[in-house]
Amino acid sequence: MNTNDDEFALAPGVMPTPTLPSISTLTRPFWDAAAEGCYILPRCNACGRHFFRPEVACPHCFATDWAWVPASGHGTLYSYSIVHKAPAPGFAVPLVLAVVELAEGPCVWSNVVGCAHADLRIGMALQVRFEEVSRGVHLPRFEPRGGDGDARPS
Amino acid sequence: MTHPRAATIVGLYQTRQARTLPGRTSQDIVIEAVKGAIADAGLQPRDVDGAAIDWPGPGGAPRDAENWAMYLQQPLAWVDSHHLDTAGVRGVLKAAAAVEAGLCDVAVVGSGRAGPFSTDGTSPGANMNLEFAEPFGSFVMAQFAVVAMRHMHEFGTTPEQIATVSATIRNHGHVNPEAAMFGAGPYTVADVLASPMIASPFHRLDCCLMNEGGCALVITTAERARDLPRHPVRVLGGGMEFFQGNYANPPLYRQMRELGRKAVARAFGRAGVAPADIDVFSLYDPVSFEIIRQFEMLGLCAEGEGGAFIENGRLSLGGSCPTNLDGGMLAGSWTGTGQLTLKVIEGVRQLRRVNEHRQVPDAELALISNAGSGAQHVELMILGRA
Repeated sequence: MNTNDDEFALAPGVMPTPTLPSISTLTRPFWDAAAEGCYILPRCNACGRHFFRPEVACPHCFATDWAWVPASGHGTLYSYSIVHKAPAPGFAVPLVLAVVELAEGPCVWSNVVGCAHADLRIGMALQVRFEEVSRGVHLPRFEPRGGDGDARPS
Repeated sequence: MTHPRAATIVGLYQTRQARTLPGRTSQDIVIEAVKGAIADAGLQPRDVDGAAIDWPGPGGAPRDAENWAMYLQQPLAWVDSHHLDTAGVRGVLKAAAAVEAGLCDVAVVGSGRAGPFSTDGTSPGANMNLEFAEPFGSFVMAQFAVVAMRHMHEFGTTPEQIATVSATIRNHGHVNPEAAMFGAGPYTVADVLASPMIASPFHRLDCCLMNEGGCALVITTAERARDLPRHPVRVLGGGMEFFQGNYANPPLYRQMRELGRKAVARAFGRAGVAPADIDVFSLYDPVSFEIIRQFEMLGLCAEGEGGAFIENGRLSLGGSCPTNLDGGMLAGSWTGTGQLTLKVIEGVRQLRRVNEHRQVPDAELALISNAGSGAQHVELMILGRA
């Protein structure tokens, strides 16, 4: 389906989102990196901890000296809800609204994709999968992580 | 010995609460509520010198309580204007503090909503930046859902227990003529579980309403209350706790498990009573699960045991923790901010002992709560019959 761009078409199997991020100067680097397939996070230069969402100051120590750094894109499923009522027209439901605990520490909102609902397990290993939902806008969604990392409850 | 300036609730009013109120506007709904509450207190508009009242307009800066000086016919001594300060526990606690500190003598807290939602501007989330939440399909019910899902995962809380809360509170609304859903139901646990899924684990009947209506309260000093017609109800203690701004970052159960515990300690410490002393509960119920979590927060059961705690009729009239006997937000009303105030109104009415068929006999103490884990803040207050 088309979103904001008449010439853009979602790749097969990609879940649409009608609510695109309202990108600001502060958050632009995240979305630019996402478009390149890189998952980056803010890390504080004072206390060394990662945080998310991006903020002017570190939520751990209030320092304003921080930088974007590459992140693993790995995490685990902290909690989720299978959303059956579309929060806005254009969402394809049911969808999996997930809280992903990143390997670097922060917990973020995302979707779990590429996983049957019956196979969702809190604690399961996940990895990021970028999906272009509008021209140039790549959402960091998560899918089960390969190897032996499938569906293991915490 | 009660301090002469001890904050006392002396007036209340709620308009009709319904899915829509055709022909009404937010401004005229608030005016009806404010007039009604002042009259209920046996006062005149010019007796009011403090206002934490929403001002939908027309005319004047939207939301600014200063606008009320026009109708209250005198310069105001104290105002508060944020949409969460013109309603509910937070509004009443701030008004109570203003009265006790001598900033004003008679304060009104109130708000209301009617007319098209989309142009009203009363939605608390209207101007939020949710750049890292909304593109994934986040919305309020789903944010509460991830807390409930983690609780179910850790403690084995069941869908049936969650649905028991919904059925119980909705059945309270079934017999309350003032509830928006009066007459709907009654519901069984099976009915709740058979209703369409909204965001797992919540079915439609687990989720609160969205409707129109208004309400207001009058707060004054104990000394002034002696000359007024209604049985006075004291604000004995309160506590608030704000974990972080809501809906942008996910509510994590491992953090939310603590949410409200400090507020509980503060409120009960001030009131000099214990949670086990409470006769009637008016708890925030944006979703059914929040009731389970709040009994754990209050320490009336251990963490993880809330699901079992609410079984066997405990929340019903005649149970040991009668809860939301007005139908709460699940069946009574949710208007954006007015539901926060209606929690207080139900508690005051129980302590006035005027609720007839849904009255807790000899009620002396009521606990009122607002907000919840998904919203990442909690406000609560203990009221006592004077």
